[in-house]
Amino acid sequence: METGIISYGVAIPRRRITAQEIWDTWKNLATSFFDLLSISERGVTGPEEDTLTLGVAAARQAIERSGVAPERIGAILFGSGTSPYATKAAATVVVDALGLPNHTLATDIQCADKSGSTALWLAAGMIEAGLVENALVIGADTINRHTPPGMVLEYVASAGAVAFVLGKEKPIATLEAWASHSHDQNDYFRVEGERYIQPGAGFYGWVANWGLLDHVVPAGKALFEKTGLRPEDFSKFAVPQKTGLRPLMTMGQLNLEMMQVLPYVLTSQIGDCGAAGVLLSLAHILDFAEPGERIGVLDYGAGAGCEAWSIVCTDALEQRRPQQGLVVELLDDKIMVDYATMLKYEQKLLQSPHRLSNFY
Amino acid sequence: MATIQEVIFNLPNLFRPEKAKGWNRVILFDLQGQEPSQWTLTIQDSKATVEEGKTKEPKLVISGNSEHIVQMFTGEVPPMKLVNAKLLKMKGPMMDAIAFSGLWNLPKKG
Repeated sequence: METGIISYGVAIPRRRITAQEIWDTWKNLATSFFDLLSISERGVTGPEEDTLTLGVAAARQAIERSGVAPERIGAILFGSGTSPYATKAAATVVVDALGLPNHTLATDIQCADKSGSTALWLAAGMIEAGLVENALVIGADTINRHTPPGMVLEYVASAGAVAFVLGKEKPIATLEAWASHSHDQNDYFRVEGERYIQPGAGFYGWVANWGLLDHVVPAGKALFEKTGLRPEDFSKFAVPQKTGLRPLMTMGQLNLEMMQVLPYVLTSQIGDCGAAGVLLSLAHILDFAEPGERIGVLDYGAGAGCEAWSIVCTDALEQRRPQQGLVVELLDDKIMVDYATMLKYEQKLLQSPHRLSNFY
Repeated sequence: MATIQEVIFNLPNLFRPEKAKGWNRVILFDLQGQEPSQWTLTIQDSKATVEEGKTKEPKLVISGNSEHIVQMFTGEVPPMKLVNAKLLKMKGPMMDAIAFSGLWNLPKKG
């Protein structure tokens, strides 16, 4: 495939909360699980942040890094399971926020945590078919806003956005192959009219991950069969990382080496970023990748399936490697908040209608 | 047998920088046994540096007897064997603990 990633951009909340701070309020999980599940800190969206603002920030960075003129972007696909809107498209807001041309095809893709990967491959298909020259793809989520206080997912529920500009002109990595696996499995879901995500099972142990291997393993194997590649043909993998247990399960079942996977797991630093989770790991890999490296991506969405795909880095990566705004820099740039502040910022407190006035 | 100081200060020579791209961590060795001591290992920008004492807040703490650290980094005993036997303990995210073990060119004995 000629189509590839021309550039990428990343946005994560600057505010963070420690797992210990959450535990001090709820005491609802043995703290020994923190190390076992690699839980340590997670993102807290500020009052001015949501899935859209994070997505716009990541997209703006991706476009700036690409050197592609906005009028050459023919499609924008906004992948998220936590769009601020239930019906209207979030992608149209991105069009206006970034000053993209109004003839751009703008649509949302809702496919749980793998929304970004699904959007990326749909956009790649449009480019390969010659329908558009370039496409902007965003994977963004605010899992934190949709996790209720006191639920154990609160320890990891986070937020973030990753955006890609795709096209055929001097990509830093070409899209190589893709395989998918999907069937209905209600491991985590949010039904109409409800704000908070429900776990189909528990948080820890086999039941907490029951959908993962049912999808990731067949999708991963299908990718290997389709391409004739073996795990050792890949230098690195970006894998599902809601908790630190998921990379281990994925690794074990697909015979991946630990050093292909574990250094790129960001769970302990930022938590579960939903549709941006695996893509954030991919961006982190790309920040330091070398031309010629083949990178595997296994992106699982609860109840949505798994996209397994591969890219191969090109010589253009050397010339257009991001010099600032690396994922490690964003992870280190943080402001810690306490539990009450997190509740306020994530809009989980009952609020007075007079909260914005100084009348008392 | 090498001393703990010799082994710790030799860590930058065993380090595999290509495996630590973007993996920036502070690791504390908090040791008892024959040579009680503390050492701070900083992995930053694919470089490993060592200082005596606890000089930074660690993300990962490795505790145990100094002689077991010597055995691990001289290749006499595999790291996982020491961890499984609870002779070495790692406190911190399990991802980091496992990834840490893959960052070294450990000598192979016999």
